[in-house]
Amino acid sequence: METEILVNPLAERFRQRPPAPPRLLRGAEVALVDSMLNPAAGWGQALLEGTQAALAPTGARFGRERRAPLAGAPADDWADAIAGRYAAAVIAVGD
Amino acid sequence: MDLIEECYAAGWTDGLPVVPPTRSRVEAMLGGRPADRVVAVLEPSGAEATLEKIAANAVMAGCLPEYFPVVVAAVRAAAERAFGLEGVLTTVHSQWPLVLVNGPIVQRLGFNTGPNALGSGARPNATIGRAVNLVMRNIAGAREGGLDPKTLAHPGKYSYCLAEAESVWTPHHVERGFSPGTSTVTLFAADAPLCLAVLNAQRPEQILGTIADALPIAGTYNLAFAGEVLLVFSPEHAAICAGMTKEEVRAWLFQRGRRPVRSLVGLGVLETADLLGRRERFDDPDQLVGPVRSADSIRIVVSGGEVGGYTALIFCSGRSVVVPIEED
Repeated sequence: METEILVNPLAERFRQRPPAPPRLLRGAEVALVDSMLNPAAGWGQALLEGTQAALAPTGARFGRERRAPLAGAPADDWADAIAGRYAAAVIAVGD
Repeated sequence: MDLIEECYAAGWTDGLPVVPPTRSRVEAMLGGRPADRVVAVLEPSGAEATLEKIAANAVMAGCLPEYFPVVVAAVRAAAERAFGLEGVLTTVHSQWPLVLVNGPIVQRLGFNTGPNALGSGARPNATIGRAVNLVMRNIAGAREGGLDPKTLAHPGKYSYCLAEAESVWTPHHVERGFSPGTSTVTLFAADAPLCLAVLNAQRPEQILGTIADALPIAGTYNLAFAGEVLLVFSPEHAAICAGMTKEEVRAWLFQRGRRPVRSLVGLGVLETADLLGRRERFDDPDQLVGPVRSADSIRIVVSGGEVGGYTALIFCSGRSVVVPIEED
């Protein structure tokens, strides 16, 4: 929003985060990863279940992986370790 | 509608009134710099922080145009991957960006490094800290009720900016590899300061012993995750410890600022560690644990009034980031 007088201080341009093309997920194995700081709260599971429900119509198959939220293997190393088994990964992070 | 009320209605403020970001004020803040230049992409929103957006927030915070390079430097620091901005802003924990300013710009812009160094009263400290917070809110997306879920937070969310005073010790930015003539911003993910009083001390051990006693207190995230600690020595405390270098002070504190795991039994720390997936740090009852993994994660600066034997202890998560301030 920008009025005649004030410059809008809110962000207006965002980095593009295109979704994975559904055709690439057809029959593919997708990793669902709960990497929440507090997994006991169940928020990560809820996010992943919602993701799975949304992607299921594409024909994707799903596997579960764990990743420690902090002080675990470096992200690139961890990604390399599972890259051969999955076409994509959905990771829930936060606390 | 009154312009200040218009800013409230638009959801741009931190709760306090802001200076309306009129076109003329924003252009004055930009000082001819290209408005569309992207300084950084800020998480969690993934937004492009352009110079114009940063300038609008700096205007709202009350900054003078000459402060703008400091605000821009802080935004660049926040976007460094090592800082982990997304985690800092979206955690329920109370950490929040603290801006530390070093170098010649401290005197040139008139930052307060005397009484109330961590408090109110000085325009550079107050408005630059506030500008960074407004950027976090309006550009990075850390809005209350949205992506910013802090359970309690702390008053530094309004403004959290500190400048280091000159002392016998090596300045922080020089310890981090910059020349004394370079001005820098260091960004910390900082909890609220805990002010430790050691009045009428005669020896460094009295001061450092008190700090060491406080370092491994139960209940900090640092005990589980071992981030950094920022110590703000008052000039009085620094003078008493001046026979030691900062490095020697760090080593002293690192050795003594720990406690055995067995002393934490019954305090809920182990249960917290379980929840956070960090229990292995506490498996050995004889293991010494503290708020940092190594002595160099204890950061030391000097600031504050000449009178008073105090040191502020600020627990910080993750890693601080230092960037030079680029003045045109």
